[in-house]
Amino acid sequence: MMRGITEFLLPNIVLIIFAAITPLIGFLEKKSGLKGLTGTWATISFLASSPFLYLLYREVSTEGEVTRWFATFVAPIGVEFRIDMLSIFLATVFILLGFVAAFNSIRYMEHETGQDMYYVLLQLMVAGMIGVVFANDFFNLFVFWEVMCISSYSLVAFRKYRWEAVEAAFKYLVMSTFASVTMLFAMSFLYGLTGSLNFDQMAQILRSSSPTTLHQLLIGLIIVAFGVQAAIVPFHSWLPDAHPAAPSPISAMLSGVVIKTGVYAICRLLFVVLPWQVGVDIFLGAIAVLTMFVGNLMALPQRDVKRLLAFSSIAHIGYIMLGVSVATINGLTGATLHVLNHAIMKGLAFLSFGVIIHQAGKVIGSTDEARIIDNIMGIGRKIPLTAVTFTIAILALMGIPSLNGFISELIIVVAAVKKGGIFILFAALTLLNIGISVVYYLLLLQRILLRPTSEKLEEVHEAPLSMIIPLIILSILCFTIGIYPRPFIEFAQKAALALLGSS
Amino acid sequence: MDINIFVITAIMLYGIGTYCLLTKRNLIRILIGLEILANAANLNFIAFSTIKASGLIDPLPHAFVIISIVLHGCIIAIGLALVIMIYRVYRTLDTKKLKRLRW
Repeated sequence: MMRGITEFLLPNIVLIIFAAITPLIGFLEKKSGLKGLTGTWATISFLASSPFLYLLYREVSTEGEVTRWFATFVAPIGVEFRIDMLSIFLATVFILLGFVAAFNSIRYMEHETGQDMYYVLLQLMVAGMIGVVFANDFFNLFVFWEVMCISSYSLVAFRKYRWEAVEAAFKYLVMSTFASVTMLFAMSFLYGLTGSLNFDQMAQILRSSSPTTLHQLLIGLIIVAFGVQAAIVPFHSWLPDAHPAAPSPISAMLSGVVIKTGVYAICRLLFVVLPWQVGVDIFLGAIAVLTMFVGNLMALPQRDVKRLLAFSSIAHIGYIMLGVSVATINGLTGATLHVLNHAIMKGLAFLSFGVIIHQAGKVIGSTDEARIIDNIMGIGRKIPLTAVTFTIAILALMGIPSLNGFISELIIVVAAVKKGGIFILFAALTLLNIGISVVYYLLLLQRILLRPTSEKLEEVHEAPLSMIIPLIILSILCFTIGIYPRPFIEFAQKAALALLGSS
Repeated sequence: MDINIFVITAIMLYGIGTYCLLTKRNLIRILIGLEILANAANLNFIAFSTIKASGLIDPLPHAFVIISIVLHGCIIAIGLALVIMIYRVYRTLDTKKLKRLRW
């Protein structure tokens, strides 16, 4: 009976159905004049898709993994979804962040036009991401990848009357499309080598044959293709433009979860499909350290807070990649947990700062001005509740014990030290990077909280409660994972085992 | 039929597309470069779909290529819409004259 429900109604399909109805709700909102109806509908849609995810979780935890075919064709002619613990874990993160972003958008976006399109794109973006983590062949992976990418291009350019948004979106579009086309090109060669698009059948053929230069070339192409979306240095240059240009809830989505799908795809293909080459781990580890350094050093001189947070996302991708490159169960557990933690804390940071610039922008006149740190010195005294959640987010990003960032960073560093060899050096450099990041986080907090408030900010008021509630939810999660991490670590461990067990 | 010629053409198209992205300064030409790249990948897929067994053509890559064409159509449509928006702000399509567009 239960099985019958989730046979077709996977969480992403549910979201797509909801997204199809959203324009109708937008029409009703215009007719009836009930403000925020569309946003409420979108928030409900994320809530409504979570029971389906839970049913799927129950099924996966008993059976190990669940396969869903489309129509009656089976691989290699048909395409399929394969859901394991890692997919469930990531889908949970995506739906959580989608929920808080939609909730926060109800008030944040109330003055924008075309809200129904905004929520459709948000729902489709989350549906695409869930599809990416459920996919078990290149067909599904590519289609849902593009659904996700097309929605994110449009969302970055959503405020199309601002030059910054349009230009950043174009840059993002060109770089990301180049990456997805490169991925398609690599896929076509992998298809030529194996005669199948299904991950399992590909892995069988690729792993039984001896490694050649073509394999290494294809691994390189795959890392480039997904590395652009994951913002791995040197393919990161779109991120610090695109993430600040988007509306703040979308920045939270992009920085919190969209870049993680790139890391997920690299993991899935390297651990499950492609033959693991000697030296890939050291190569990935070196790239991870480079990514951290670029992210942290570039964040130091930033005056624009959203840009600073975007660079700090690049640094955190570096930490996650280090955990992936260690390739032991502990390293992958840390990386998986850090995906969840970074999604929560960076989502919280962007949403809180979105509330700050929303409130400050009303007084200063433009939200662009309010993003510059010099214009909002000491604003924390005026909006205490938002300032507290922002502080929690920044302290968590810094890696303060008793908040969630500390736990996963500790697991990653310990795993790297245990691996030995050059990874001890990588672990030491990671600690150095965490030290560098403390500098700019503390400077940011000092300017926002401790400086005397300037006269022009006297009029700033606390935001409405419906904007604050999502922030409180995320803050509570920060503390929960920081103080009682055991169930979350166990969940992440199961996810990591699902990835390692199949290789 | 020998598929080498198709694969070599696809690789050449990929090179042309990458060259176009790296050197062209007009926004529309950059989008054309993306289209060339997409077609390189599509051509490669179609070429490889014939080698599975003699006389048999695998239908999955054909379905894939049709969907990929549609998706790239969407991307190029969004790209062109963005180009129109950029033109309204800057009155130019030259990447050098835009403020931030550097890669």
